[in-house]
Amino acid sequence: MPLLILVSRFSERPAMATSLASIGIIALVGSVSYALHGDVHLGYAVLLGLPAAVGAVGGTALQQRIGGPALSLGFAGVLAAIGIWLLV
Amino acid sequence: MLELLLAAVLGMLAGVLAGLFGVGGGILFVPILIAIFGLDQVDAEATSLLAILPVVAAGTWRQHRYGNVHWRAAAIIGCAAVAGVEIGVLAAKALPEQTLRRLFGLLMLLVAAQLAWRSRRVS
Repeated sequence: MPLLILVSRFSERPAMATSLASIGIIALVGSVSYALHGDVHLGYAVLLGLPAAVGAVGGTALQQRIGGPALSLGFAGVLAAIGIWLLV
Repeated sequence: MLELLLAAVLGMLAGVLAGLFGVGGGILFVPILIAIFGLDQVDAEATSLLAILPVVAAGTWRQHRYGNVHWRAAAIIGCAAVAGVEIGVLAAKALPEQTLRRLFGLLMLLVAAQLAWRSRRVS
């Protein structure tokens, strides 16, 4: 997503939507590959994934009501929090 | 029972973040799977990837209806990222875990600073 905004000059909402779609390809290939090795726990994936899918519908609706710069700033905050957590 | 409820609530929160910022939700799924269900790192990452699929399906379906998805770009990025995974795995194996963690943390802070700088300039 940051690459789409910073390099390809997408505006925030298309960058975030396109990023989400591209993650689907990565997750599909990755989960099939891991499943063949027996590493995937289907029950836990359903337990987390289904409520998260409902949350994603809410998140995308909320996103349409927030301005692009505020979305970038919010995402920057999330990244900064993760970055600090990894460094500490 | 409480664990299941907590996981479902946290899963929904991860989904909101995924829909809001266009991330898959793995950032939260992996720690949840480790902390609540006691999975090891590999199993947590593997299970997280499967849990991401319904999130992506629901979020992308909604975003498509809003007219925000650039399918060609998504296909190119997704396929390139799959090809790049092998390089990432090699790099991850070549570096000590602590170094990798710090480098990733620095990258997150750098990207966050660039996004914040850009959003201030635009607004």
